[in-house]
Amino acid sequence: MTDERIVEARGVTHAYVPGRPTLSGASLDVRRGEFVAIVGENGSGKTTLARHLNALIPLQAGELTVAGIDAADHGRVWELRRICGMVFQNPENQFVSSVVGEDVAFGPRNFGASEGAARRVALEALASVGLPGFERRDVHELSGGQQQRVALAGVLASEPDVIVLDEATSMIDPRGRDELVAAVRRARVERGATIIWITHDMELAARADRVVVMRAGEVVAEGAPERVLTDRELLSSAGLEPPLVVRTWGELVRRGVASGPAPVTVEGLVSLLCS
Amino acid sequence: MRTFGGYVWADSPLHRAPAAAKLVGLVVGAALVLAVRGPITLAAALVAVAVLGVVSRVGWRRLLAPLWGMRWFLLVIVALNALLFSVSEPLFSLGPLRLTLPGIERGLLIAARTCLIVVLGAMLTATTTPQQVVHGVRELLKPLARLGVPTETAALAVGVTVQFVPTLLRESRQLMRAQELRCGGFAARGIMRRAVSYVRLLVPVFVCAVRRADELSRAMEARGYRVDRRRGATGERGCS
Repeated sequence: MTDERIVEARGVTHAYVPGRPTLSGASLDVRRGEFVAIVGENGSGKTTLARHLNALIPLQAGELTVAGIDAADHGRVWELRRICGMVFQNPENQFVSSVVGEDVAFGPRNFGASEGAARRVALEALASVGLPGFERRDVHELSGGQQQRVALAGVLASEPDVIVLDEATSMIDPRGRDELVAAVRRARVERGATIIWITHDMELAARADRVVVMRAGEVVAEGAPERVLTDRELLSSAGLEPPLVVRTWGELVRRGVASGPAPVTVEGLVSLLCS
Repeated sequence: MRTFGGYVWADSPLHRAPAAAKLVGLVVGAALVLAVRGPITLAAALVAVAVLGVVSRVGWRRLLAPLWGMRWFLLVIVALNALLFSVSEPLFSLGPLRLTLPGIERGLLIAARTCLIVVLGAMLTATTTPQQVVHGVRELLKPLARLGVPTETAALAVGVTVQFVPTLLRESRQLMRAQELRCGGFAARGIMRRAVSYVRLLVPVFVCAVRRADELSRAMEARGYRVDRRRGATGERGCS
């Protein structure tokens, strides 16, 4: 992770229906290589902010740049989309081909890669998400976790600097979630990608470098998971609950068994209990 | 042998034949079936389709299954022709309805043609995977690219449509089960009640299809797709 800011959003406002803004002046900075989790209840504006990062919806008010590219610059929309890839919620709704390899090569082809180069990067991307040899498989034969990893490979094949995952684990089982998380971690380590993960999963958010809390279209808090995810008042005001580990620790403190700041991950809890 | 969607995993000359050839074969076969006029040509068409059915090694149950789903439609075709085809002396009449022998023959012929074409279509989907169909469409459309026709876009549209079919079928089945549990819609006896149940099913299936299409279009845009795309238009950072 470096100090260079790769995403800079200032006062981004968006209304799908005039007079009823979904985003109300949201501001956010993300550093290159950082893993940021954005949490908030339904309708808090998380997905709208994510769509702006990929220039999927026009910027109505405010300023947003990704790797120095202005999201309002229509002439550079495709450049921005190559730099900032996006994995959506439902893997089945992202596939343009029923053949895995064909689907993964779709992005590179659109961004100008030759047929041979598109195939090569597709194979590399499949290998990097732990699905080598899957290029001829039918996407409908795969599990939910594998499908979402194919979707991630489709994004990685375009070699983006930023990967936005919009509730990408909400439709897959725990095993699939773990597989996807491992693949994203690998992408971060091997490619130095910046990760912006929009999620309702507090256990997942606890693994981020920084947690951003959104409420009613605004960023209301941000900071280290240890600070944000243990602030019950803040989370409650945003319609959220702390992770199970934090709640468990709170109960242990209430019963006088434990004391001190709450851990946010299972590993942290085990470490505290063992010490 | 197992099935996925319409495809049946098996090894036969029809499975091994190129998809483009099978697509052309389906169009030619349908045209020949439509040209059937009398009992001799109808018998010849039946024998030809039966031979293809045996060669395909798909199984008659799978090939004839779509006909069971169409039984009411076929019955209506025969009834309309039999009762409204009033060229000759009626065998029986009731108000504007006149049952005639040529009408029955015509109705049966049209129903037989429809059945043959449906079985040929089932044979294509049972011996060709969706991706092979898309590949076949792309191959067939290639010559049109020289005339400036956006064949890649057309092939992509066909591919996306084909690959959504299993998903939409699964969603339809889930909605049917949900309706059956709540009001017994599809299990109910009576054509009208069943028809109402199917109409009730259309709205949520349509809404699901539109929602999926909307999400897919966003995903495609996010991955750089545009209809008027120019290769290498995104600047110096090609994927190499």
